[in-house]
Amino acid sequence: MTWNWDYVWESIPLLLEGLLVTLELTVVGSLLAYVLGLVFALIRRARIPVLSQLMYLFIEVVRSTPLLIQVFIIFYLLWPALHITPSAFVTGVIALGIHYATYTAEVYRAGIEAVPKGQWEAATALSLPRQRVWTGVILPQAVPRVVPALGNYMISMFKETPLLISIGVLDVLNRAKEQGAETFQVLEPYTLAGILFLLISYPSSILVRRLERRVGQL
Amino acid sequence: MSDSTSNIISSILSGLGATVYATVGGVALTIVLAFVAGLAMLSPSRTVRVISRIYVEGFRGTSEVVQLFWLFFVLPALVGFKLVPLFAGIIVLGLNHGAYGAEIVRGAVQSVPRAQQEGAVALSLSPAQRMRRVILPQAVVEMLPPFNNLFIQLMKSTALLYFISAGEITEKGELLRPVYGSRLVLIYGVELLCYLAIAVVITFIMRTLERVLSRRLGRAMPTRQRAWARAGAPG
Amino acid sequence: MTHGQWTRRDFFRRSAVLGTAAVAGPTLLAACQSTESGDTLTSAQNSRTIRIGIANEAPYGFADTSGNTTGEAPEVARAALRGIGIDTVQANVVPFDQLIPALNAKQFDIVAAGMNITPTRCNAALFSNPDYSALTALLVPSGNPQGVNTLADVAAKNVRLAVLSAAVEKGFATAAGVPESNIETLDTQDNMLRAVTAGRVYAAALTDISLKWLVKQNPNSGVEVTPGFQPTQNGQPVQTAGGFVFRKDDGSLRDAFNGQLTALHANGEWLRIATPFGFDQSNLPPADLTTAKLCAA
Repeated sequence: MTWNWDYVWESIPLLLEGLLVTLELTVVGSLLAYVLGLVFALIRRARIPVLSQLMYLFIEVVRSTPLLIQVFIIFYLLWPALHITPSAFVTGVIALGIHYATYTAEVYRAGIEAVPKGQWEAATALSLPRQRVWTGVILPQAVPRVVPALGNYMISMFKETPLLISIGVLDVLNRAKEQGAETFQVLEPYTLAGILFLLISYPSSILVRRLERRVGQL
Repeated sequence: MSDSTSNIISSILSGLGATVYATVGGVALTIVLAFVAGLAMLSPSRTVRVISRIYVEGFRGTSEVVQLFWLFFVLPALVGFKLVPLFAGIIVLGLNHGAYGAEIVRGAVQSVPRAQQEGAVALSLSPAQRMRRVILPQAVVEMLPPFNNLFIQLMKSTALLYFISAGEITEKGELLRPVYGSRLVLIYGVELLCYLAIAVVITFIMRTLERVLSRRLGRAMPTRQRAWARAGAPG
Repeated sequence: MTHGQWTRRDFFRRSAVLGTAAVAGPTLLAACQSTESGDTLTSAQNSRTIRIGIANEAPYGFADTSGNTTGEAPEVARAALRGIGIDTVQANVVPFDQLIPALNAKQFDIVAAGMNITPTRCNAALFSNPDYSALTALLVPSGNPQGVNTLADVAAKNVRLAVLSAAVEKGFATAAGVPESNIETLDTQDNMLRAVTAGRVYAAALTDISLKWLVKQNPNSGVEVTPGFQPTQNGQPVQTAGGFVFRKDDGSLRDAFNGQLTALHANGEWLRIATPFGFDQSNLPPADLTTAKLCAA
């Protein structure tokens, strides 16, 4: 089996189409994870009698079981039960968002706990309303510190998206698979797919590392 | 228990062996690669550092599913031998998670205070003794919480072996879908319980290791709180 | 850093490398099995066992409720292989589009999944003589509200169609004018059924035998099968036939298998084996339809 450059150029447009889908999944999924994660973390912290315990259980189960199974559960069990049929793409975004929200929830928790006790006490001393304590004092200190970790999770999500081909999402790996299935030549498409991932995630992780250094100086 | 229920449960449990095998094999390979590459990144030799960097960045920067497809579908045609699916899976799991593990090892060894190394030199300990009795014990205790997370990640990644038909739990469940389409709650429920059980076992082993090794260092085990914060992003 | 520092690391690394070798060495050796020196036919006859690949597509090759591998293709293969001295058949299940890649990657030695003989596939592997011939059909919601009966109707009514990944129906659909954007490529027969019942697609295209079996196994799913038809390519009706697939260098195995297969077709055994799976006299391949012809088409 030798490397066929013509085949490579032929395959690139299709793979780039897939890459676009991969990027869309990553960005929307991450945004969902960032928002949902904060919600999860706050619910856990609020110590509401039944809800917080359930949230803890939910987070532990989702964090400790494979994303692939969660995707199947949503796509083949949940949607039919609710009698709705969201597309595979939407299912992917939701599954990724929920799964990664359980990771970001821990990150937020660590960030919030890293805020010095003195800040809480000062806020109380100033008689700030509860909501203001959070939005004006705690979160502005907690969130910047965790941004690098959140960035790393986006990169992780980017690399996990290919498992969504199991429900038919047309991402870069699925396009590579299509190419390979049509011509029975798999070397070039799969190698290209790998390179495309590297081209995006390596510079991104360098960026995050730089961000980490900057934040460390805060 | 009805016939179909026991069929379903035994079918899924028949995949448990492959999942556990893949997890154990993957963990073993990860540990070896993590130490080799992690220490190599601290080597005075530039070549060694660069080679290990390339391995670490290469495997951390590409998707595990893509690596799996490549190793399983492309490699055999390139080099002429066929890989048994389960072993191909173990190799990818080990290579991929070993790269992340290398960073953990490097960070932990670097975090051992210089004073410890200098103290060991002052006590005229040989290089091997320094490593074995001073540096490593302290570094390993630091490594255990992030490795705990990494190994659970690895266990979750065994589900990806579904794509190469290795006979593990997720695949067994999916094979049941055409035949037992109305029993999905049971199918996925049993699968989730299996993975949870393995995760609990892994965490138990790692926490026990941490307690035992900390005690031997004469240290109190870090509280769970700090361990979580230190664990951070698997990146 | 003193020179001693390096020695310490070196020592540790050496033992780690030994560790790698100790763990990985035997693992890799066990994992890789290099190309067999004997040919597949001889080694299968010696060990009296062989592995086949199926795609969990009923009734061609699938696992029943007890987990046993059965179906028209595995059962016919079992009968043919017994005739050349191979008693045990083990089945590997892979998605349909992985059958030929996995065959070439030596995960198994014969594909027994009722795979249609096409020129592209002939380039990648060797086919047996035609085993059966079937018509194409569509799985549609009960009552067929849109009145879609052929692929041309699918194109005309602008509805979504599900096809099996790497199966021939996709080509037939595009030839009939169905736009790519309306085609959903799925990887298993079961996923195609779910796509229709969930309403993600209006119709799913497979062979009529396959779809009739699906409906029989899922009586309350609210789906039905259209009458079978011959797909057209370049305006001409196309007769398709499926067969068993072998690696390109397993010609001896293929020829031995063909001998048995022809006998089974001729003496009525094939009909006896295939009837429980929904096949009948009309599915026997016509005498003038040869593999060579189908590969050249």
